[in-house]
Amino acid sequence: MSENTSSDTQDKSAAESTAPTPSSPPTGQKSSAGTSGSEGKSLMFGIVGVIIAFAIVIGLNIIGPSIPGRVDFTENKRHTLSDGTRTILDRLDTEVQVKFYVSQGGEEKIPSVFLNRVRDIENLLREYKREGGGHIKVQKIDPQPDTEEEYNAQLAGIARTQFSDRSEAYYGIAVSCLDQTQALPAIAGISDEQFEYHLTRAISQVFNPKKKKVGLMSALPMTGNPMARQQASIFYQQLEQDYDVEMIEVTASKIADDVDVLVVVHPAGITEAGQYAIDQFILSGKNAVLMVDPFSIEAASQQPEQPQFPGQPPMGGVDPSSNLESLLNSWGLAYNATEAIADIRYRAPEFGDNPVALKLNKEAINTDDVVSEDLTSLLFVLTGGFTEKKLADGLEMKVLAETSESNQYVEPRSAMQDPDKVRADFKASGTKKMLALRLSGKFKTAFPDGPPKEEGEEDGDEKKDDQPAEGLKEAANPSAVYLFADTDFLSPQFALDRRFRSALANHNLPLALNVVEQASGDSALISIRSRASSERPFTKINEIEDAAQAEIVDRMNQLNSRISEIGQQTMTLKQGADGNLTLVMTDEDRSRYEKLKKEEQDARREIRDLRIQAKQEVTSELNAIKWRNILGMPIVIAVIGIVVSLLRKLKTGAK
Amino acid sequence: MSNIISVFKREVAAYFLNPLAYVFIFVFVVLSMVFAFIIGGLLEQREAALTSSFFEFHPWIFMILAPAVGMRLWSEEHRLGTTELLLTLPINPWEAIVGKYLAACVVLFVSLASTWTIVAEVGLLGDPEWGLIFSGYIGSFLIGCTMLAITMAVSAFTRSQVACLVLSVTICFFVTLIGFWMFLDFIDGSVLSPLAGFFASLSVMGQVRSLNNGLFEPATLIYFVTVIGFCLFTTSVAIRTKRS
Repeated sequence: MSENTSSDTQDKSAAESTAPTPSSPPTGQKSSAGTSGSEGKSLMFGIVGVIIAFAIVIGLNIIGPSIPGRVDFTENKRHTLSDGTRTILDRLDTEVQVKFYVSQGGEEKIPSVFLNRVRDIENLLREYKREGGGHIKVQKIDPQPDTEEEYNAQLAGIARTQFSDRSEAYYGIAVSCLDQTQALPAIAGISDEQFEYHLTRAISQVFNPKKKKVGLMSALPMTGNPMARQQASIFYQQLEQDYDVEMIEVTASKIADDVDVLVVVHPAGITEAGQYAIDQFILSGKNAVLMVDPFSIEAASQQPEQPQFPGQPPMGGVDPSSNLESLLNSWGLAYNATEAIADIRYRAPEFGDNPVALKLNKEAINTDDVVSEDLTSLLFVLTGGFTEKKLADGLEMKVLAETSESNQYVEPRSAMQDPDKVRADFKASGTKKMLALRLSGKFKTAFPDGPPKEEGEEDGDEKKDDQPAEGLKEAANPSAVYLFADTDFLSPQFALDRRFRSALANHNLPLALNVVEQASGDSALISIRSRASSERPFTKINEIEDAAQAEIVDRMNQLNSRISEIGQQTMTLKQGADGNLTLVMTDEDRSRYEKLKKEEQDARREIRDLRIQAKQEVTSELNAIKWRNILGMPIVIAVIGIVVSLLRKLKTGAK
Repeated sequence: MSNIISVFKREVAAYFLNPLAYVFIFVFVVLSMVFAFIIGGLLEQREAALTSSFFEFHPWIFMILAPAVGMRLWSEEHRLGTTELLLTLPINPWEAIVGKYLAACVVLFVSLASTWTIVAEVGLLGDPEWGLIFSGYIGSFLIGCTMLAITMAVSAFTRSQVACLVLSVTICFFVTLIGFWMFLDFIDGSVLSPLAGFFASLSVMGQVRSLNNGLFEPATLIYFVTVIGFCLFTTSVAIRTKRS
């Protein structure tokens, strides 16, 4: 190569004029002392030059991070301030101070693994400052122990964060405006995707401290139970950060006038009077978010397992099923309050492909609506569904999430216990069910005959003081009602990441909070909240797995049915004709029993073999993908290299 | 400029008319794919993304491959004694340096481009974020170019290609390691702890992190441009010193 370079770049005429000639050595010898001096000078200049260049490199890299501008290559522009943040920053007319407390230089410091994150946060804060138009002031503070900075950090609500290596340091942000301060005390636990949302919300809260009031009606213990060491529900905790939350009993017959938005979660045991209260609230022109569930896993898990009285079903706890029958009927919606939906198309692989666990992707989510446009993944387990009977006059309906056509109603408890049976007996209904929807328009009352009578109340009884004699019949102003056919989608079990509980597993919580946000009238935060990491699964690999599973599913179902039959037959043989357990079998029965047991063993072995076979099919497909990538292109490169070498050899040989 | 182009053309031809470039490309593609599919578990992670299983391994591959590509840039000239001849020609040393450097960069570019199959595969199997893949490639290419520039500077000081390779790999390893989270974790609590931030900002790992996450910042560009510029300047100083 070098020979080529040298020979090629050799411009003959130039070389002749500049290359040393045979007669030149005397000149060179004459100036040898001078050359040595110039060599030394040149070396010194070189070293000085390199040192100066190095200093310039360091200097430029120090000022580099403060240079504005960035190119965001991500699809949903998650490194760029969202429109929601810009909207909120545009509203600012008073100075908001953002103080980034991070222990870095002294006795206390955050672990080095967070250094890159600190840099990212600083960059983001610069973006806030720039977009804030002079109303955002950013300060980075290193609060070392026993300093005024530490005192200020504590005053702002920032405490030391304990890291996984057991070290402790300050790593939080305080946002203040006039006398209002909001702290993000532990930003280590906030994911990159959620950071902007938390910061913007803090800015919004200090600038506009008056919170909207949310009335939360639920039969579930949303606020937790300190006696049972039960924490408040994650949905309640999230709501509390943005709103004044007032709990309302399911038995309430009136919703307070100062409630801005009503949120109803699993109203098990709600009375007609309770539904009337909701009805009147909506007719007053306010918005409501209503979540019912044919089988609340949370309610079921809190029911006592053992009956208090022998022979009686267990009493107490919350009914797993909830309904708002009168309201839903009047709006023209049908809802099955006792059965859950199984959907073969959207079954969740992480729940053993049980069709009652629905993992919805973009296909099932309405991405045209602002509350759900950025959502890509929702998980509903043992959910119900709505279908339209005849929508009430004056109402408009928008579906937010729905099942596929391959769905069927199933009995919830048995479906959880025996998913194989659900799959074996599955018959698609062919009609999509709505899981989440919005009704909007001018609502008419579901109680045209006036307030329902309470239990024990007779026709002639006088009305109570707090109940108007005649309620509203029709809304004067349009309002919106958001309906969900599930409530467990808000539980940590299904909404949060199983390993990192601070991270979202899907968009369940963003969807619920988005609708509350929209219902409360401010949707600026919606576009920021929905930026949780979106899943991008290998859909083809899922299809390969589905195909492998489909090949064996019929045979598996046959074998499972046969095993059930064998179980019943062997039980009959054991029990004898009188139904009591027989201690001694006849020879004929014993031989039959052993034959059945052998058949059962064979069936179980075949099931295992079928599973292994399906797994092997998937594995071999994946291996084929791996090897065609590992070897495909390298073989092509090797062939090209060999051909080029051979051609070159032939050419050289010919010469 | 025409001198740069003629040096560049000749060097590119020299690379690709010999089996050597194909060996580099072959090794790079095989290693990248093995890291992605076997060690990184690309298919097992079930996510149509290349960041953690593909791009994050590139600094470790380039720390050996880039010195292997660049070790002969000046060491070979020194060994054969053609540096002096080259510098007697009517071209500026800068032109020779830039021409040679860009030609070596082409080898890295072709190596990266040859991994297109994994991009196509991910596209066939799912719906990846194309912007993230694009920025990941930019990051990988910049890392390769930086390591190549380091190698070029080292090769300007030595006649031995082996010495150049060993020294360059060591420097590139250091430049990668000081930003690696395990190293930063390791030095926590040691005397080097106060320098952790400085180390992280000097490392290619720290710089390429934002690019792998789909964000291209001026600071990242400044880092790569200044480090490459500094290495090429050091090369020119070494060459000029030798010439004088």
